[in-house]
Amino acid sequence: MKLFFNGFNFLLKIKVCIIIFSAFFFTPSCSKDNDPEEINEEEEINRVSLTFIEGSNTQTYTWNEDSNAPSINLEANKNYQVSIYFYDASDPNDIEDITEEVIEEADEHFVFFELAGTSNLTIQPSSNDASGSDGVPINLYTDWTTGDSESGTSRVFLIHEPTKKTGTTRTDFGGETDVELDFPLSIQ
Amino acid sequence: MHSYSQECNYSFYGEIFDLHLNENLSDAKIKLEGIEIEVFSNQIGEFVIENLCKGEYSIVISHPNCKPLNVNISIPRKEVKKIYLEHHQTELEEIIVMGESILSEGISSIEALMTSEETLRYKSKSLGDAIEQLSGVSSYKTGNSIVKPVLHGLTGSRIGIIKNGIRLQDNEWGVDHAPSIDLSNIESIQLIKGAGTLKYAGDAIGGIIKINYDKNFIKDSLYGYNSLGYNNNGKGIYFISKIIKSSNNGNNFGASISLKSNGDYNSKNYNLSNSGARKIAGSIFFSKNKITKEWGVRYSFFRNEIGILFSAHVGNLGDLARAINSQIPLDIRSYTRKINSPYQLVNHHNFSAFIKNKNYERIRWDLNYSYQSNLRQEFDLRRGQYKDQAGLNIHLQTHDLVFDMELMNKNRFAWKYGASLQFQDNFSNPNTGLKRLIPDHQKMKFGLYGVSEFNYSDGFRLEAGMRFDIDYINAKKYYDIDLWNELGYDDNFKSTILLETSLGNYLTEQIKSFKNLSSTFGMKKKVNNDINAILNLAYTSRSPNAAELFSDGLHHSMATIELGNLRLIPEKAFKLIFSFENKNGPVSYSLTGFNSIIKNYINLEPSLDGFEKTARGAFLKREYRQIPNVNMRGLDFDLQLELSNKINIKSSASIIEAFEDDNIPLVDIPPFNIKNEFIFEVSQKTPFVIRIKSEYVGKQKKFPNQNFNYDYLINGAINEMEVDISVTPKDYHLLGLQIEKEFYKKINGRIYIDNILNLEYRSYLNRLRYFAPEIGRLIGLELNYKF
Repeated sequence: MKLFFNGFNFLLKIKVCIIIFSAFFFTPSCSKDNDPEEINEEEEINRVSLTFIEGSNTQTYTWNEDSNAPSINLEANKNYQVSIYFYDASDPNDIEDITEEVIEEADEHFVFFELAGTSNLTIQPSSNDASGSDGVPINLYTDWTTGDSESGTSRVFLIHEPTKKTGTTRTDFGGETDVELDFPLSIQ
Repeated sequence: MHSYSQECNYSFYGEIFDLHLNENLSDAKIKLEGIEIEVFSNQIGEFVIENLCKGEYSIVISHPNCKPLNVNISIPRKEVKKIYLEHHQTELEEIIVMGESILSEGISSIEALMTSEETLRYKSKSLGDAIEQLSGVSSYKTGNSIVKPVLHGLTGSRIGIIKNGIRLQDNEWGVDHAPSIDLSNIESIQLIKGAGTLKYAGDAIGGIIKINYDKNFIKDSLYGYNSLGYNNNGKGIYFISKIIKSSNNGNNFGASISLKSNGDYNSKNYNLSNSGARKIAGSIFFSKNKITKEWGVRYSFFRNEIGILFSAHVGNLGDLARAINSQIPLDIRSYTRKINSPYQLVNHHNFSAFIKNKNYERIRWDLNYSYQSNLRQEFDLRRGQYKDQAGLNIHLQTHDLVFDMELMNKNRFAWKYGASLQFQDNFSNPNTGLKRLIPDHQKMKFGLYGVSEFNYSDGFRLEAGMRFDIDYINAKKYYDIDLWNELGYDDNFKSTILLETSLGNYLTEQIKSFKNLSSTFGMKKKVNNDINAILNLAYTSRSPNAAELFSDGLHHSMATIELGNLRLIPEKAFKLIFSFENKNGPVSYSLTGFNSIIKNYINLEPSLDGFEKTARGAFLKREYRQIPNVNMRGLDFDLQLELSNKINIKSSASIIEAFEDDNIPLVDIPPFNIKNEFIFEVSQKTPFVIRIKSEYVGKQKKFPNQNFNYDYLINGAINEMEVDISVTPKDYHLLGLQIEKEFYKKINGRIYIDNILNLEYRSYLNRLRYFAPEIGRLIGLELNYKF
C-alpha cells in the first residue's frame, strides 16, 4: 500500500504539467511544488494605545493582544487631552501605525467611547480632531473632563463604515466593529 | 458501369447488418443496377448473387425500415461483403429514445425528474430554487441569491451534483457557496434520493442531483428559445438565449447565453441593502452522433457576482448580538443596482469531452473527461492598501476522467462498472494578505465500481453494487504555533512540521489518505400494473474534505472562527430508503421514507473555550468534530391528481428528523413543509395555463442550543446576557400565481407573482435570517420565443 501512495505522490508531482487544458484557462498552476508564501496579516490591529495629557503629565495605556486592557487612572476634576492609536505589532521589528490609515479614510471610520458606571465624566472631540468630508470629528483626539471620584469602564470602539456618526450607544452607529476593548476606569 | 466478358460464373456473397443494433438484417432487397437481378437477405442476413461476370457493379440495398444504400463492388471478389444499413429517421429517433430516455440510474434508485419546461419556469432564479419544488428537497440560503440544495436534510459534500456525468467541483464545502450551475441550457434535472448511485459517488448520502443536457439528434433542425424577463422586486432583468443546430449527418452545434442583473431586493417594509446580483453564463458545444458512436466537446462558463446584505456584515459578537436584538436591519440604505463590499465573485469554467460507444448490441461504454476551474473571491470591507483586495481568493482546478461500461446479458443479468480518476489543485492566493482559510493542496482520487442487476422477472428486479475509492491529499499549511499547541498537535503530528518561521508559524506538510468502501443493495417489485415498491439499502463512506480538515479563519457573517481538525476520519452511513410509487393514471403518487444512521458525522461545533478574543472583540470559535452517531429519518409524499383534462393538482410534502445519539437535535434541519399547486388549463388550443401555488413551511421545533453570552453595555452598566441564535423563526404560508399564455405560434408570455400577500417572514434555513427577513412580493413578466 505504501508503494501505492508513493506512486500517487509521484503522479501528483508530475501531473503539474500533464495538464494540457490548464493552459487554455490562464492557469498559474505549473510548478507549484515550492512552499506557499507565508502571510503576515498586516491589517490586524493588535495594539491599541491611549495617551492622556494633562498639563505636563503624560500617561499612556497600551493594550496588547492576548492581555487584558490596563486600568486607566485619572484624577478628579481635570481636563485631559486624549489621543488614541492603533497598531499592527505582529512583527516587533516593523510596527505599523494603522491610525494613519484611519485618518486617511476618515469618512469610513469612527471612534466611539461608550462609558459604563461613570456619570461625571464627559468626552468631547478636540478642536484638532480628524474629521471626514462631512466635517464630523471622528474622536481620534478627544478632551476628557473628569468630575468627582468614581470608577467604571470605558469601552472603546473603532467602527468601520458606520451608517451614521451621531448617537449615544454603539447600536446607533451601525457599521462593523474593528476594535472593541474594555478599559477599566478609575477617577480619584 | 459494368462490362461483360467471357467468364460469367462468379458469385458475390454479402451479409447485411443493422448498423445500430449490430444485428443481422433479414429481408433486405439487393438489386443490381442495370440488370434485372434482385435477391433478398435470408434469416441471418446473408445473400448471394450468382453467375456474375467480371467487372464493376453498382448495387442498391434497401429495406422497409432503412435508408437505401448504394455500394460499388468489383467482381471477382472472394470475401464476404459486410453491409451496414441505417434505419429511417423516425425509427432512429425511436431507437435513440428507447435507449436513452430511460434515464433511470438503477433498479432501486428513487427518482424525480424536472423537465426543461418545468426548470425554465425558474430560469430567473437558481438551481436551488428550482429543485426545491420536488419533495425531500429544501434550500440552504445565504440571503436570496446564494442557494444550496439540501437533500434529505444534507448538503455540501454530502450530496453530489453531476454535470456531464462528472461531479461538480466548486468549493461545495462552504455554507455560502452555491452551485455554479446555469439553468438556461439544461434539458432536465434528475433527482436521485437514495445513496446507492455508486456510479457517480460513494459518499453522497443525501442523494444526487443530475443535470442532463440535450440529446444529440440526427436530423436537420434548428431549435432553441429566447427569453426576456423583468422582476419588479429588485428591478431584475434577464435575457436568455439558446440555439441548437443539428443535421442529418449527426453534427450538433449549440450555444447558450444567460444574463441576469438585479439591484437591491425589498422585503415588505424596507430595502435589503446590498442584495443585488449579476450573472453571466454561457456555453458552447459540438457533438457528432454516429448512432453507434457519439462524441462531443462542451465548454461552459458561469460568473456570478453577489452582494452580501450590509446588515449581515458584523465585525464581532457584539455586532452580531446587536443585529439579532434589532427588529429591523441595522443598515438600510436606498435602492441601488451597485454591488458594494461585502460581495462574492465566482468564476467557473468547465471544459468537457466525451465518447460514447454502442457498437455492440449489449455492450456500451462511455469515456468522459472534464476540466473545471473554480475561482472564488470574497471581498470584505477593508482598509488601506487592501481596500479593493479580496479577503478570500481560492482557485480550485479539477481534472476528472471517468470510464463507464454496461454489459447486458441476453438472459437476465446486466452489469455496470467503471473507473474514475481525479486530480485536484487548490491555490489560495496570498495577495489577500489574510491567513488562508483553505490551504494550498493537491488531491488525487481513484475509484472503481461495479453494479450488477438481475431481472428475476418483469415484476421483480434486484441489484447489488460496490464501490471503492481511495483519495490522497497533500496540503502545505502554516499553523500559528500557539494554536498548534492549543490543539495538541505536537503529540500526533510533530513529524509534519517542515520549519518554524520568524512570524511564529509552523509550516507543515499534511498528507492524508483515506480509503472508502461503499455498497448498495436494492430491489424493485411490481405490486400490480401501476404500483411499484422499491427498496434500497446503501452503505456509504465519505472522506473529510479540505475544509473539515484544514480550515482556519474567520467567517464574517456569523462572527465565527472556523477550525479544521487533522484528526478526522471518514464518516460512514447506512441509509435505508423505500418507496411506493404509482406513476400512471389520473391519481399518481409516491411515498418515500428513509432512515439513516451516520457514524462519525463531521459537524462544526462550538469549541470548548467557545470564544476567541481579539482587538475586534470576541468571536465564536467552532471546530469540526465527529459525532459518534447521528440518526436521520424522514418521509416525502408526492401526489398528482388529474381532476379533469383542464384541472390538475400537484402536492408534495416532506418531514424530517435528525438527532445525535443522546437525542440532541441536529442544527439546520428543514422543518415540515407542504407545497400545493393548482393548474388550470384554460385553453389547450392556444396554450393558456394558470397556476396557483401555495407553500407552507412549519416552525422547526427541534433545534440545539447554540446561544452565547455577551456583555451588553446598557444605560451605563455592563450586563452579561444571553444572545439567542438558536431559536427558529415562526411558520409561514406563501401564495404564488403564474399565468402563461401563447399569443402567436412560438411566442408566449408569462406573468408570475411570488409572495402575493407580501408577507414578512424569515426562513430557518437562511443564514441571514438574524439580520433581515425574506423578500416581499415579486411580480415578474416574461416573453418567450421558442423555435
